[in-house]
Amino acid sequence: MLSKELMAASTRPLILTILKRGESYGYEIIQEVKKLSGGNLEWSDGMLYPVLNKLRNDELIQSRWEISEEGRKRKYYSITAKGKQELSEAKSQWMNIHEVLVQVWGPTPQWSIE
Amino acid sequence: MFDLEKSISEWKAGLKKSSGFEHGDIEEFESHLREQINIHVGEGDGFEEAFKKAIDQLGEIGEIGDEFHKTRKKKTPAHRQISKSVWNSSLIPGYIKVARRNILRNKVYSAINVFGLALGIGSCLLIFLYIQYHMNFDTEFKSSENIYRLTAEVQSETTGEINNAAYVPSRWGPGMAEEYPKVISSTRFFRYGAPIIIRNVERNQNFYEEGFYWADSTVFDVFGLDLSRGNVKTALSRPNTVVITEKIAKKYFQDADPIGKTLDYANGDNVRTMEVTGVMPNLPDQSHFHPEFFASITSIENAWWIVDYDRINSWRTPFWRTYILTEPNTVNEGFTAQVNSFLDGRLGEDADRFVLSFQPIQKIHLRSNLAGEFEPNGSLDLIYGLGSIAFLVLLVACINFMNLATARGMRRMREVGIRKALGSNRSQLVAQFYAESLVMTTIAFVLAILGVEAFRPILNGFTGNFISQDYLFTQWFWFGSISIILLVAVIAGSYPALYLSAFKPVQVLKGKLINLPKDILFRKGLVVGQFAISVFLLISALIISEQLNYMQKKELGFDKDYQLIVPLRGQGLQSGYASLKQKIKESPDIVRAGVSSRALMQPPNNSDLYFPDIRGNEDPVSWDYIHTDHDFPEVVDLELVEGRFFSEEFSADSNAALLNESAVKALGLDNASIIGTRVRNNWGVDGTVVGVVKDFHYSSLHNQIEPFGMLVNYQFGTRFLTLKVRGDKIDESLDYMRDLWAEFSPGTPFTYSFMDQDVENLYRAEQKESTLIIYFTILTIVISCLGLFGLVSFMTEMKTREIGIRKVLGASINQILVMISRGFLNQIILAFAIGSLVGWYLMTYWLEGFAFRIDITIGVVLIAAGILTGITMISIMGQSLKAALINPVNSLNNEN
Repeated sequence: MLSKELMAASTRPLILTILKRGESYGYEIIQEVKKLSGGNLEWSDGMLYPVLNKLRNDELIQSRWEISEEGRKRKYYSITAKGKQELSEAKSQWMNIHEVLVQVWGPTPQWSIE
Repeated sequence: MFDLEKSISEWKAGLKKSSGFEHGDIEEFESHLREQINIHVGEGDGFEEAFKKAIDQLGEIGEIGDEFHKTRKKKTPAHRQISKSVWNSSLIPGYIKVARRNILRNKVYSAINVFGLALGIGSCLLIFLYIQYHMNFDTEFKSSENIYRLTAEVQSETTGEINNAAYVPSRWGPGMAEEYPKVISSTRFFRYGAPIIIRNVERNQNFYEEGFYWADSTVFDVFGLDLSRGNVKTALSRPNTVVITEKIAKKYFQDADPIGKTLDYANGDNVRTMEVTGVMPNLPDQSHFHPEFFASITSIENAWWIVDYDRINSWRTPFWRTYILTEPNTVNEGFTAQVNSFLDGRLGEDADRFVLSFQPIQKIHLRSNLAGEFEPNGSLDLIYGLGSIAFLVLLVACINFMNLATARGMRRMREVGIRKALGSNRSQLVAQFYAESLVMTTIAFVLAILGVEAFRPILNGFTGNFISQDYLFTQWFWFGSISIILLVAVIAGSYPALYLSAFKPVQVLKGKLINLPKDILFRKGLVVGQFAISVFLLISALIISEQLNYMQKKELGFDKDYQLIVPLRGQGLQSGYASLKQKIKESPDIVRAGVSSRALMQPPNNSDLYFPDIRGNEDPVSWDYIHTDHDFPEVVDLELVEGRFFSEEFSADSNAALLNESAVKALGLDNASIIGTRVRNNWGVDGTVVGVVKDFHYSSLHNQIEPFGMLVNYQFGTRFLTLKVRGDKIDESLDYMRDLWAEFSPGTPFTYSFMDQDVENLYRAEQKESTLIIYFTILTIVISCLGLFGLVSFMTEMKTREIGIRKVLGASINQILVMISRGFLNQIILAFAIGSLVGWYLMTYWLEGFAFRIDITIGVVLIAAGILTGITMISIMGQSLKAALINPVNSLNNEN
């Protein structure tokens, strides 16, 4: 039950992380996001696409079209250098916050980001 | 047969239509969709099932389109701050566009919302027009603010009772005008209390006229009237001259010049020929009186009924309605005191009995209720009452709007989170909600105006007013309307706007309701409020109807069926009454006939009665009584409890009297001992009491039964004929009477009314109130139900998953229905309690205006309860049923 703000803030790092592991396309990315967030993300699938678009506008990811054997087109996304940089900054920010909170609250049992 | 490819193509076509998607996006979506469909098919779904699920999972295309749209619009480097300002001009059309899309997407909700609001605004507007019409009476005369009516508190010399009268002694007005230069002019009026007959002999037309006023020649100065024909200075100086309005001129003379022509005036046996000396404009409809003829007072100055009663030269005989015109800012407390002392000087020892006041004419229509008003006035209470109702209806409509807007907004909560990721901020979201609210309010307003224009003629017909279309063209109307639209849009839009955009719990997305206590309380409060108002109105409607019914049906103590009431207005009817009566008796169809100075159920009127044997010669009572012929009491079939009715066999009976039981009690005697005591009045009756009748309702049920008497006197008693006719011979009787009229008073139109109809008309005001309240009750209930309908829809959607689960676990449809209804039960009970209490209290207060009234019983409250509960249940049922029939699989498929 995450708050809106947290969810929104974590979407982008989440996507970037997934893409850092390797190139992927829309449907796959969305399924992965759902899996990783353990069912806590409650958007409809389609809403992820504008996010991808924005990330692209911000030049954190890039896309290319690929045509499969059946003639179907798929848009593949991959992370850019800028995106990787952004991701590592985000990661250290989140970890900072995490450490501070752990200090204050004590360690939490099950939560790992990677 | 379901065609997957076709469905996908259609869906793609739909996407293309939505703005915001580029070609590439659509292809991406298609590819996503197909993968999702394949998964479902792999799990065992049919194509159609899979397709539907996949579409659903993808989400609200419109929302997605918006986001794409936004991302595309701002092709800016990532670090440029998105403007936090809502007033960025390029965004406003964007908001409107988005608002339009949102509205169209939820057609049903939007329609309900707009319709409910339009109803509320429309009713409010109609009432406002009505109120405005009535608050603007007597404003169209030149210098209306400086015209005053003289009123007097007169203490009776004999009984000491104080009468608040709208008529004053003859010399007051002219005397004042002479003495005080600031009183520019004065005019006196007299209008006979019943319609008189005006005849154009040349064309043999005659009509009953109600607007015939005897007036001073100064009347035109006081009211600022110009004459289109004739000379204002001389028109009314000579006796037997009359000035008529344009409307009357047309009625009697068509397009010919009326100046110099004559009209005959007939009031009973009083007949005159009047010369038309002027034509004046029609007086405004929005006035407390409606004169159509001004005839010169000089005509009647020397008439016996003026001179004998000292009415023309007296400072102390109240008789004339008097109006004055002053210079601006003349009348105040000081001036009033001054004039009162001036009058005291003229009144000598009677000075203490009279107190003069100045009444601005604009205060007459709604606030004056003195003895001797020209016409029954409107009431300020009704205005306040209507104003409150207007406010209530608008409030309920706004509440409804807020509820539905909130419900719709929650549906979109899911998408709000994404906006944050894309950089939207709260103020933009707030602005979006306000934009929607504004668009819907504007549409509702337009609809409301259309509705008002459609209903205005009906309202005019109902109230007898002439509310015109002019308001549409005034500045204040447009200014006021825009203010109202903004106000309503802001208020009604505030709740969803501020609340939903505050990004509160994810619980909403999981299907639970927003559960901060204060928010739940607020929303429940809204529901309770609406229903309490509905309950209150319903109870009022029921009680008013019941009281009306009671009054129509109550035993009056006399016979009112098949009784004709015929006024004796034409020449020859009163003077020829003796032979007229003989002739009437000859008809087999007319069972009984009698005359009286006033028909039963007309307004009561008190004057002095002396009972020398009981109270001495100088100590009269001030009671209501009528003059009659010998037969009248038996015509209306009163019940005799002592003594006998009048009879022509006893010559002394030409001066006899009958009293009712209350009169006897008031005199301190019993029925037996009153017989034979002497009774006299100031109008020439001096005789004995021959009988006592059981108390009966001689006037409207608004009034108590007080002491009442009937005195025999043919001079003053021959004003209204009361005829009992055979029920199956009504037409024959009417024809017979028409013939008699032609015989005794040629040229006089025969008019009549039925007593039972007249009795019903007494309560016309209440009938109108009752109709009005019933309309508004229905209106409010409709609006509340629309609101409830929308709320239930929303709640069932939110609870869709919960319902699905319960069904899977074996809940029956009934149980689901109960579950949904239970959510509302408490609120409805509370609303009911509040509405009933308020209704009870207010109705008790209203009923006190009637001397004879019903008691408020639990029955009424229960009926209201039953009706409202029924309606509410139906509203809920419709939606609940849909929810209860949801296939659990569909509602559960969001769980992955």
